Amino acid sequence: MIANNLIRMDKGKKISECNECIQALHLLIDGEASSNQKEFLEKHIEECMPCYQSYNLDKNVKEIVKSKIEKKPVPSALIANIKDKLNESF
Amino acid sequence: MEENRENIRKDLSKAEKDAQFEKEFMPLIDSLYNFAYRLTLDEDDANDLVQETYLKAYRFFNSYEQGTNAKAWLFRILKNSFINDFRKKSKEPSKVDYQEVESYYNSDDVDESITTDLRIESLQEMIGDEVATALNALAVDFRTIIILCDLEGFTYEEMAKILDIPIGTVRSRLHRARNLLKEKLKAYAGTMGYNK
Repeated sequence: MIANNLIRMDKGKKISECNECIQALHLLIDGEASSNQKEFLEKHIEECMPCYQSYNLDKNVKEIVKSKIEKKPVPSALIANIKDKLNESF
Repeated sequence: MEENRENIRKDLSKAEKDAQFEKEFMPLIDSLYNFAYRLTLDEDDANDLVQETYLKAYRFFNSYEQGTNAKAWLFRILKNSFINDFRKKSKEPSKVDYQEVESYYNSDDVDESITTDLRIESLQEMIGDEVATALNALAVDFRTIIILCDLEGFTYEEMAKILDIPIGTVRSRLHRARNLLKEKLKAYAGTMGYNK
């Protein structure tokens, strides 16, 4: 379905193609796109500046969430407490 | 074949079971604690939730198939504990009926362009606490899907299993969650003067 869009790049189809792209961009960002979807999305963002900007922003948001949010260290007593509880209960 | 495996499993001594439990599940405590903390936003509550998760995992250890996805299995137990026991106990003031939220945000009239003027440079200038504050401001179900996908790197299929929802719902919830997160980040960038 998406692959069909590869052959219709005329202006009239542009908006629906952009809508399709915006809805599916997450698949590309999350590595979940099928090869057809990947081909369609990569080609589209190469040719369409607004969609490329959306892609780039979303990709950056994902990276920033992953890289900037600090991991909480596990409280040192937690593992010992779990083991105690397991011994008590079972 | 299946029957044999069952028998082998039942024949495990307590020491063997404990050793397997420790080997497969304890190394995941770091991810679980962070997930619990991001759900409850409270260190003591996160502690309790992780303890409860490990106790349940031990109790149901016989239903866990060794070598399968231990992390997804534990995350699912933790998420269910949070929903069934925890959310009921703690009277979360901002508790949101997510069916309602979801159908609202799944409607197509949410303007996609709202957030396009969030600048990447603004994002890059933010510190971790600011990004965390924006994430924490999301309703718990939207927060959860972003944690699972972006912080923990689960696949859509794994998230569908952890959350007991169809993959289509994973996709749409993730899409909405990210749009909401961008709005929060943009608001934050605005107040901090980053987005100028």
